[in-house]
Amino acid sequence: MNSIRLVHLAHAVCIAAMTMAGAAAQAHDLTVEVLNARSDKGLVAGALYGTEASWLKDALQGERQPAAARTVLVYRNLPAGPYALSLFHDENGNGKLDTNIAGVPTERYGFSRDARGRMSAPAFADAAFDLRGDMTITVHLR
Amino acid sequence: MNRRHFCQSLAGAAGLFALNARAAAPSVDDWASAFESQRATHPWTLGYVGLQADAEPMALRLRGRIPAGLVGAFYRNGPARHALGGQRYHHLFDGDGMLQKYTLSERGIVHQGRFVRTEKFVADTAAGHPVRAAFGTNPPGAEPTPSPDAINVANTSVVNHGGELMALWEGGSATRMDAQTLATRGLKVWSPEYAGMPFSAHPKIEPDGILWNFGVTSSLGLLSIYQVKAGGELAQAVTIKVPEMSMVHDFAVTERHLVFLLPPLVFDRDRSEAGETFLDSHVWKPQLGMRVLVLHKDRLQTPQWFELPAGFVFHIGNACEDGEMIRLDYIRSNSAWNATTALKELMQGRYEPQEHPSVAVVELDLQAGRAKQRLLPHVAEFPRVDPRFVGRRYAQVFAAARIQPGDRPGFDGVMRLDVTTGARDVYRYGADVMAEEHVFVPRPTGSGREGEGWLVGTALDLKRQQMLFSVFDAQRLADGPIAQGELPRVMPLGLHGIFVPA
Repeated sequence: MNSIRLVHLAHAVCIAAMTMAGAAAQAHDLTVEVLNARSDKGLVAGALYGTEASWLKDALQGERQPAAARTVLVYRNLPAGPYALSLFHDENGNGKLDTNIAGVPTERYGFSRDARGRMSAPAFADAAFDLRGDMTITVHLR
Repeated sequence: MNRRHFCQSLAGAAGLFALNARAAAPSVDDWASAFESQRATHPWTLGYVGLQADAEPMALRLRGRIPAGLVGAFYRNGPARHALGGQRYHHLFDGDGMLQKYTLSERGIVHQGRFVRTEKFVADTAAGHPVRAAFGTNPPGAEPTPSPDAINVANTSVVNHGGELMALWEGGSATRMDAQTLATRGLKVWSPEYAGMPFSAHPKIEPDGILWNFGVTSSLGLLSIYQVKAGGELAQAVTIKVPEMSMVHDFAVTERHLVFLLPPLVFDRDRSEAGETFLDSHVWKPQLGMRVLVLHKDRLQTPQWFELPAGFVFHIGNACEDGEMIRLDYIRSNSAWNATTALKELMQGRYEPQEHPSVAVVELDLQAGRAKQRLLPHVAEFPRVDPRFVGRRYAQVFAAARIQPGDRPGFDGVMRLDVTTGARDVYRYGADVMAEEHVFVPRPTGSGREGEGWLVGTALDLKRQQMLFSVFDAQRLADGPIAQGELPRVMPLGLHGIFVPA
């Protein structure tokens, strides 16, 4: 079950990142500083979620930028409320979080609040933060 | 099975290596003080104190002459940092690996040792105490384990293949090492699909240079098989599902087959998820017997099963084909008591002899599907063979022998055993000397006959608090070493070694 969620995570992140889901109307900007990419190859992609129910399934917005020592992703026009992010470094640019044959990710990934699951993705609540104005957060990829 | 479908079903089975680091108690436990309290009265504990720093190069004092053909390096790996920041590990197999090297040249023997800079070694060192789980210990407040390599201590063995020296562990990737400086180069990736998959500590190199190895992903019940060309490139990797996956440490190859002995020490995911250590997530299920899994090299997905009486095994000496029979020898214990209990108590400086491993000889009848086992009385461990005869018709097995060491763990001698006749050639170091694994080195200018060469290995001299490096004529062990070096410092008793000719 846990690994399924990691696989879902990979899919959700990709789909969201690639389709650039439509932006919301107003309010605040979220800036995400992503550290710890293994190289400057490929892209860093991040998907933003607003509820436990949609966590790692239906992203509100996807963002991606060329990988760097410090990659910045910006999510705009967000209403105030709880959010959580999942991110990964698509080092080989194939649009997915690669795993080995046992389902363990072989590219780096991370979550807001640097939340960590136990051999799985963390829960929405563990990665969630409250957006009340323009905000900058930092995520370390592992 | 469709590839994608297979991957998803693997992912679906979930749990992966499932080592979780649930904090048991927030405070430092008393293992370190328990061990310390035994030091004065139990001299053998000297071999398990462990080290905190690399061992800088040091020359040995040499008695006798090193044979002219014996030039190269003897490497040994083993758990060497048994404690950090006052926290002592609970099992002998937990500690960080140190790769040791004894360089043999015309100028004598020089020793050095360096810890493998694994991810865990670096993280624990930075914190000043263990912050990641180990095989038999969940340190208080440890970080979650996102992947097997996060807790890979590279402490079990070493292999030299395809021009690369690698430190090996059972549960994760091989670690590439610099053969000269012993510097850590990084994890070995055989292929993208097998990145981070377990690559066990007992690969077998056949006379033609092809390397076979396996890896167990316990919580998914997966057995992965690797075939690596003589040049070091992966020829193939295959993964099969095995019901009631056991703790499997070693295997054997023959000309046509791979042979696995599956002791009934079985991984239980519920225990793991409840927070037990990896070791304590295993359950002894003697009703399963010792299952024998045979794979034809051309049909790796199609296992043939045999059964032997329940027992525990770490090491197999060798195996070979004999018509429609496979013959092999292994070191057998009646139960997993050594693995699950004795090697924990040893970390507290306690030793209670309960059972000793001894040699067993097995015949597998491939036609009839029957297995036969014969037990030999010799107490031994660390079986090694002539590398030119791996998987081929053989008779000779070299091993560390327990002859008369008194009230202490381990071995006091070495032996050559003819597994076809039971004949033995034995050398006893003495009760005050703890013998480590010894390795056979073929004589480069010889006839190529099995066992023609030298037996080399190390031992801890408890009285003089020094290490011995001994060279025997492999056919005349009882005569004693033809050359012996004394290293005036104590090294932690290690596990497996190799000799790499210059």
